[in-house]
Amino acid sequence: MDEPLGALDTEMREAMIRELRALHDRLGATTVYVTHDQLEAMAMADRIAVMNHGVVEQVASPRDIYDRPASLFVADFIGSPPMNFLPFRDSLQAGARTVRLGERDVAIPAVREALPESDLVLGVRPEHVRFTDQGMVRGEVYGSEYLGTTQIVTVTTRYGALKARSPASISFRTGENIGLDFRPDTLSIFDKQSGRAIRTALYEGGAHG
Amino acid sequence: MAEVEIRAVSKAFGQTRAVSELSLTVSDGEFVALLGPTGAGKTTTLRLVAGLETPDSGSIRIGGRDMTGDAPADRDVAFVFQQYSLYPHLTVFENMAFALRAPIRRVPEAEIRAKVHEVARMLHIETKLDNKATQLSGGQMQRVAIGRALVRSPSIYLMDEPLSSLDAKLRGEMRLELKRIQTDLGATILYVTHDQTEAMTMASRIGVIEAGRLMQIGTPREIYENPVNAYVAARLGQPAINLLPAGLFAGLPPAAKTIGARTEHLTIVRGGGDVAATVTRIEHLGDQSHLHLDLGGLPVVTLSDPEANLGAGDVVSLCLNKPLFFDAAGGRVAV
Repeated sequence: MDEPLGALDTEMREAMIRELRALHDRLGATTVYVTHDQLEAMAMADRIAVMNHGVVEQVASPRDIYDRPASLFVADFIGSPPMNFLPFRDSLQAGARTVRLGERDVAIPAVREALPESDLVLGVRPEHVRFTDQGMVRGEVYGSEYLGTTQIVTVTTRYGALKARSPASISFRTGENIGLDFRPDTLSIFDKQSGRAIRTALYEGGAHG
Repeated sequence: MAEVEIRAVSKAFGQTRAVSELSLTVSDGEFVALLGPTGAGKTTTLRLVAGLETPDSGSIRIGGRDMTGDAPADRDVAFVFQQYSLYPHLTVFENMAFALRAPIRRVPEAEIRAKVHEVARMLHIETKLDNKATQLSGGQMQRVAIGRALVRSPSIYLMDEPLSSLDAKLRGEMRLELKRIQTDLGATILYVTHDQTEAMTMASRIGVIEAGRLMQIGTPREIYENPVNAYVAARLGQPAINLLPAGLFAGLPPAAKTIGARTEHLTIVRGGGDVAATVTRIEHLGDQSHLHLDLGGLPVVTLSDPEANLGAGDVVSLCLNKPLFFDAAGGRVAV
């Protein structure tokens, strides 16, 4: 199927996603489905193959693609708003539980490979950013987008604009100086040059395709 | 920019009433989104303001002047169509300059060049100005279509789902950009969409439209937290609000026939809640997981706490936390 729902409006598309998936469950028909819409892929597929310039970068279940992205491209492509990327430079020892980000040690899932000093990228999903006064990273609130249950808060930091998903009940002032913390067990580390995800304890939980 | 006032406008096509007694004022510098499903009358409303349709009754005032019978060219409006509608034989520059070169405007050529370059820079298409308009990606063509409107300084920009043909990622970026441009220019925009996220994140006020009628108008937060009826309540929120029969829970207001429970109105506990429900499925959509529950045969969808570790077949208990109530006709019941 080649983007069969591409031309529909949101509500119709959501209804069709459920119908197509129910149809598939009933018929058990082998299906390869092409889409640029991540919601369609995440909601319907048993497995997703994320493609970039003719190369399959990762094949895995929707959950693994989201929680354990194999490359920077996959991490950036899946997720709305996409994953935040904080560049830093460090060397890694097997078994390390922290990385050096600016003047602070940031707790991460245990590293499973050694790496000489190189340019790395810390990946944080917006929903894993928390607001605390003692935060790892400080910044100024640039603006917030109200979504009903939640809101997306954009914070300008020395690592660029970071996005956080927070309950809509909290209010932020534009220009307010706030601290950000990251949930340690969900963080990804990427090699900036190759885009490859560094092996950590996080990646042992999932089944790889 | 100017204030635009739609006064009790109706329009029918044959037996079909497309717009019924619709009144709406867009203030100078305001961004108003009309939100509704396909066929609700959103595009007809825009076309009535533009003068592409003539109302059967009611009037359209722009900048305090009655323009109901005036031709589109005399109304000083700029329209961005859903299907880019670019001139395929012209370059990006010529497409954007086209409206400024109209004989009735007589803009000097140097001014045209300066304006097109300024807007192209704002939309990040300044390197594409010499390309043929059709040799662009969908996202770039859409920027050209928006740019063609922005080179002018009309009384109001009328935009008909300008982002709907873009992919999710580009749409997210364009939402932020369009909002920033609107704030910078102080532009007055009437924007039509079926996408609740676009309406919520960009608009100063949202008008919810259904079957040609304006059901409610207010800020995104007012519409979301304080909907006038069950229909409006169902338009906003992901996952959608759960509408449940009042009989399921005790201690409700007497007039309430339906309970409207959004994710934030439902607390899930392992035991000791008001009613029991069975987990049928957990849908991992990435940034959020939808928890599908069976509540005595009724489907209920809420957000799942990632820490809760629930699985299909688990029995949970639900508590209501200040939900919305609706009467038999769907109208809101005050608490």
